[in-house]
Amino acid sequence: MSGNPFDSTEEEPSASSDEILEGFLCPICRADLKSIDFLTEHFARQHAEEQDALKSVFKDIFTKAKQKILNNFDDERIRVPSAASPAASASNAASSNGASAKPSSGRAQLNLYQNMSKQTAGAERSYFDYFQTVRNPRLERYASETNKLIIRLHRLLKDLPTDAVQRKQHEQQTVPWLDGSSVKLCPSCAKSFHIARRQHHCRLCGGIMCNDCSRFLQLENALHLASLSSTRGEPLQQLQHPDYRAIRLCQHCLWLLDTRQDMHESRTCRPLLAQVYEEIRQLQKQVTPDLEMYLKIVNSLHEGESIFTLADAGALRGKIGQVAEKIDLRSKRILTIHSEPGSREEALKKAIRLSCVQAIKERMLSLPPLPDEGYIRQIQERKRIETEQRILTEQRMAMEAHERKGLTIQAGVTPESRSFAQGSDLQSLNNWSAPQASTTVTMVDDPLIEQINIIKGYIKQAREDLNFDVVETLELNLRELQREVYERQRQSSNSARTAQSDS
Amino acid sequence: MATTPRSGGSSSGAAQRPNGTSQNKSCQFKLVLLGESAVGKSSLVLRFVKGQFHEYQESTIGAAFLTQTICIEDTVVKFEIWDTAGQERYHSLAPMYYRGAQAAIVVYDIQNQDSFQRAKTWVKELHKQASPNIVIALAGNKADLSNIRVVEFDEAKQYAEENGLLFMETSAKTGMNVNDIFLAIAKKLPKNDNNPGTVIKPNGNESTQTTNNCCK
Repeated sequence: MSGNPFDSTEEEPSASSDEILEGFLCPICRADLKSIDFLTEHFARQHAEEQDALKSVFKDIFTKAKQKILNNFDDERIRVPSAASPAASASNAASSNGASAKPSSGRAQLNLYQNMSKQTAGAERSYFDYFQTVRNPRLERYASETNKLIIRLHRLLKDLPTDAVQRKQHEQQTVPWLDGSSVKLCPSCAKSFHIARRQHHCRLCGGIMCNDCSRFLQLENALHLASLSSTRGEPLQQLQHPDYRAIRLCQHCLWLLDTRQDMHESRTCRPLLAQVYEEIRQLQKQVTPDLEMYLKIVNSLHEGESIFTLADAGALRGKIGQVAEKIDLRSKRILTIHSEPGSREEALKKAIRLSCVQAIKERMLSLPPLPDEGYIRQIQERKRIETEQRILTEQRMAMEAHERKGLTIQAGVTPESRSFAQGSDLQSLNNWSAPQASTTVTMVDDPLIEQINIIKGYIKQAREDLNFDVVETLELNLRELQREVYERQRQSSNSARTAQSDS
Repeated sequence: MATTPRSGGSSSGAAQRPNGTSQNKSCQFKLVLLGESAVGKSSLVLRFVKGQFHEYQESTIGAAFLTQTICIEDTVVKFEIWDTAGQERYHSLAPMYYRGAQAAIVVYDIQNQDSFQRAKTWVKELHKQASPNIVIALAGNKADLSNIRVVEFDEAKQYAEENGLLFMETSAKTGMNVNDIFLAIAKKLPKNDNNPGTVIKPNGNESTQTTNNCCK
């Protein structure tokens, strides 16, 4: 496989055939079936059981093609060094492959694979500028053409006579009609003109066409397009013949006007579909954090934490349900918007509805159910007991350590700090009622208790707003505050105990 | 019963997360405001969160909580702001709020030398007690009254540089530098997405009771 690459190509069986077959060939028996229908029929009848065989045939063809390409590459690579002087070939191969320069085909192939795996992205080039240079003149041309049409339409409609003859004159004055004497065929459908198929003229460009190729622009629409008010509605009604209530146009002019109208509409007003869809997107965006929060709350409930309550989860679920309902309603509304059956709009509407239904099903209706209250209470109770026990043990250990060391914790516990500990009539602290009771300092005097009350107020407010992120933060802070209060109580009780033992 | 909803919840939660974070990361930071009373902490926050200013802002009781979400580049940063009371009797509350905070703004009044000294002690306390990588910003508030200033800009600037603080002179009244200082903090904070905040326990005694939910 050295030397001339063309030799090797001819050795290849796939390309060796003298004549190139062409046509509707059966991929298996290579018979020419002359037409698509015959081919499919033939294929279905003759080779129904040969699907696998077909695959293998394709595979065969592809492998052959692949081999051929690779071989061509090889030959190319080998041919270069072999054509040059040996020294040059060596340096060439070494530099290109980074391997020894022996031009054996196996080695070359290996190198090729190496190169293929190392391939990096090639240079990139933006064709945007080029695209624009091509597009801009085109746009400009269309714009100027359209503008010309609008100006002509304007002039045409300005003092349009009601009388047919006068009107024809007026039309020809505004836009000169092409001379049709030498035009034998309709330029758009190529049918010959005769008595039954007469020549007609586009009122805007003066072009010639047959009646079948003519398009008509209703005067009402034309007035609207030319941005003339339809104050002349009355005479328009008098035109009896349907042809007279419209302007005859060629296809091209009508297309230009239609396009302009479409562009104008798409720029000025968004279709209802887009508006409703926007609303749906907005709702979906809104509900996402709620969904996450709900899952978090449910998890937290299952963990036996008391940051969130069952009512929280219920309220949030209700909110999510409402949003789901809204989305459902809007997607249904999209379905009711009128559109051509079988059009892309129809498909789009269906797709939107489907995605909404799916989103609701997957994300909102499939929310994990709430655990029932008894169950939660059970978990919380269990957890409470666990914690209580742990804290008791810790307390005991702390006490023991404390007694061992014979230290007095904060020997001078101020009467003030003792007062914090006492009679904390905060409900949440009932479990930890201080062992001592005494003095009469109102709760509000303690900044800690004051803060606890503030935070409780905040939490209540946040709950009402269904702002569970904040509820969580605040609840955590509340716990910290309560812990702080408890800590003080403990310290003061400890010191009280030491005071007792001292006395 | 306990397992099925939870596993369902976690799986769908995981399914949502890539969606949410691929577009923009979001992180949450706890920020605390410290400083002597009547230097304008609450006014700063009110300006930042609501864009309002009240000439006669009532003095804060305990600590107020506000949140504000801002966007920097492609990151959504949510500030949980704890606006502490400046009065001395609430001093004992402050540690609870700066403990787990990732950022702090220490505010002083540029017309009041005492408040600047107090700010310095706050910075010292933060360095000692707060999380070691807390981002601290020093704000010289009431900058609209700079014609009757007592604390010089350069003096405060130098102090801030020596102590590695962000520094700006702000005015809650005019809104000068208010958003800027919060933005500067947000930029300086590390933004690993979805960090709930590293809560730092000041001592072992405290951490043993983290799961204390006997209350309530």
